[in-house]
Amino acid sequence: MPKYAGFFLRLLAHFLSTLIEITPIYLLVLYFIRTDSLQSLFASTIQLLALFILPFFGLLCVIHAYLISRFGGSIGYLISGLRITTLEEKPLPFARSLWRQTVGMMLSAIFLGAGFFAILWNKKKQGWHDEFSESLVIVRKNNVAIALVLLVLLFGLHSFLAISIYAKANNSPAMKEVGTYFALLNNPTPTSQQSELISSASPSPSPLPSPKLTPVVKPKPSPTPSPKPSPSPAFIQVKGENFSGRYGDPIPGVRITLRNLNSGATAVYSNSGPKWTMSGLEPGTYQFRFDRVEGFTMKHQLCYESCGAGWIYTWAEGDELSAEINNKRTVLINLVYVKK
Amino acid sequence: MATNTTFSVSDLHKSALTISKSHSSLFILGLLHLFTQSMSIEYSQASEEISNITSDEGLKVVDQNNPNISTAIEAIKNLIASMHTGWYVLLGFEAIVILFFSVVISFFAQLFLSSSLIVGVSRAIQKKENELGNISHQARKSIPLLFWLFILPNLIAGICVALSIGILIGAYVLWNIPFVPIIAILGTIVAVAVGIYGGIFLKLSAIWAERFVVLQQLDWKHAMIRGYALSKTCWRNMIVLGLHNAMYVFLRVFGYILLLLLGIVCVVFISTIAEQTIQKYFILQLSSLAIVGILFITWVVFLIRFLARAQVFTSATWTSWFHKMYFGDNHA
Repeated sequence: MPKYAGFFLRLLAHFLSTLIEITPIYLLVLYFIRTDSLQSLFASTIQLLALFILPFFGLLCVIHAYLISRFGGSIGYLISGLRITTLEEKPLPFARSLWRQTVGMMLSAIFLGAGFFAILWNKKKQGWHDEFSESLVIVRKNNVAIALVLLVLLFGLHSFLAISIYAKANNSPAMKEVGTYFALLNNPTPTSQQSELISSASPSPSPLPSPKLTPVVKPKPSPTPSPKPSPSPAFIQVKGENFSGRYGDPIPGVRITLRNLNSGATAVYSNSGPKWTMSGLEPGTYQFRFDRVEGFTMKHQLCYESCGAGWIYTWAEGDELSAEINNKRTVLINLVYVKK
Repeated sequence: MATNTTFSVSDLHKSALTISKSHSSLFILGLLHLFTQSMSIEYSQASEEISNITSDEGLKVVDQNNPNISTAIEAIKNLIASMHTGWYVLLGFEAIVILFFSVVISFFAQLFLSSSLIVGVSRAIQKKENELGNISHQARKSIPLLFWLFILPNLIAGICVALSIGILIGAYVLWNIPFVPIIAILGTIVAVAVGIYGGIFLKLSAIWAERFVVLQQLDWKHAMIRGYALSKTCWRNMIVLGLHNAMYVFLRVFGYILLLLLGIVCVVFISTIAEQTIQKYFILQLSSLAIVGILFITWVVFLIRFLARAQVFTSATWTSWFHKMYFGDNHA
């Protein structure tokens, strides 16, 4: 008479299988996911999901059914010395293994996992999934000690991998950006601490160098300089980038006309590259006018200080933009040219 | 085979009640049948809720609560737009494939459970050993036949309805047959009558066809033909039995709901008259809460137990009658 595998032995084998099977997922998360910006974190997560995780978990039942029909069990079962067989102790055919791993497992799990606990009181130590597929789990070799040692080692490995993933994620630019968004959502008017957090978040990286522009408008000296240091900075920097559509091809050579609505002073900038910077601007309300490019419609995004990966403050269509830039250190403007 | 369609609701109910109470394996199957059915209902409700949340109105409600939500949504939109569409197509395709297989698995599980209940009741009537393993062996064999029985007759009926509507519209619109109101009204009445007759007999025939497939291993076509022939001879009694079954389950569930309402009234009454004493002692508050909790859990357990048995009971009434008709009184 065969020795039937009990609940706890099967649980051990199951844990072992699960830990072995998710090890590649841990490694992929550790080495495949990029955290240099929120955009790259998002992109690499989607790619990992589409290429590995979804296909793997989708095929897991089929993989298990194959292993059961070919070798008598999944990896953990084989290491623990257990074999899944027919009632006559012959290898379980593939169709019945698949039935066991899909419908059988679903029915065992559906009512608070009662079908798995049925192993505890069944004469032949069968769960509902075993009974529905007319299968048995028998002990071929007593490998409990090896299985336990391996389980402990795998727990150690997984703890190490989990800590590594945490360390990689913690303090990464991407997580800082996520923190920035949460800070914004929790507090509609950011406090000084949150502003620091927002300004420390890195903007999305660009492979192109940033050509410096010489401002035409010289900053006027303040008419009544205050003796005490003012909380608002005296001069402001406006940075920008021009690119087309969703793929971000740079668009060089856009002319920007700038008018200070308070003083009426006008200046024209012509940039040679896709990135531009205007420094030393006076605080005030400005009107920006951007040249149109043949064959494109134009959208602009504007935000103050740093916006992280998403340009979240304003998004509007047209070649003109009015913005109040009092009490701001940096103003960021994106010009997005969309093909007509 | 000669059939004896004599019929007594009380005999069938008595036999079905005995079977549903005395076989633990049938109770398990009834429980699983109940849960797989509620799972499909929950799935459809969940999809509706998801579509409500993702609709513009859902977003507007969120917008009103927090002014920064719109900026966050804008940021998420930009993030999503930064990926090539191909990735989303691949991800969507994989999700659809997984969802499709989940639906297929749960459909096969339901077929298996329906078939198992019929086999289990049949074995109980024949006083055979009734364990999950024995039942599932025969039940699993009938699944391919049952699959076609559930798919093809409904598919053919659907095609017939679509063709009839198509022909009617074609006749009126494409071939410019002059519109005569009386013909249209008569045509509609005939179509509705045929539709109701077809629908009712499709349902009634399917009850017997399922048993022909599972217990006599007939293919879907022969099972439907014999099911139709049988339901034509005893359709009144079938409707009577169906109504009796529904009334029995409804009244019992109504009883459980009354019990719950009575419990709520009792709790409110006791807490009102003994409010000061209960508030004075923490242990009394704790124990009264525990008692109410235990009573409620017991109520839920008993309700689930009844609903699971009701699944077995309903299946058992039809299978008992089928047995009586085909194998005589000595089995039932």
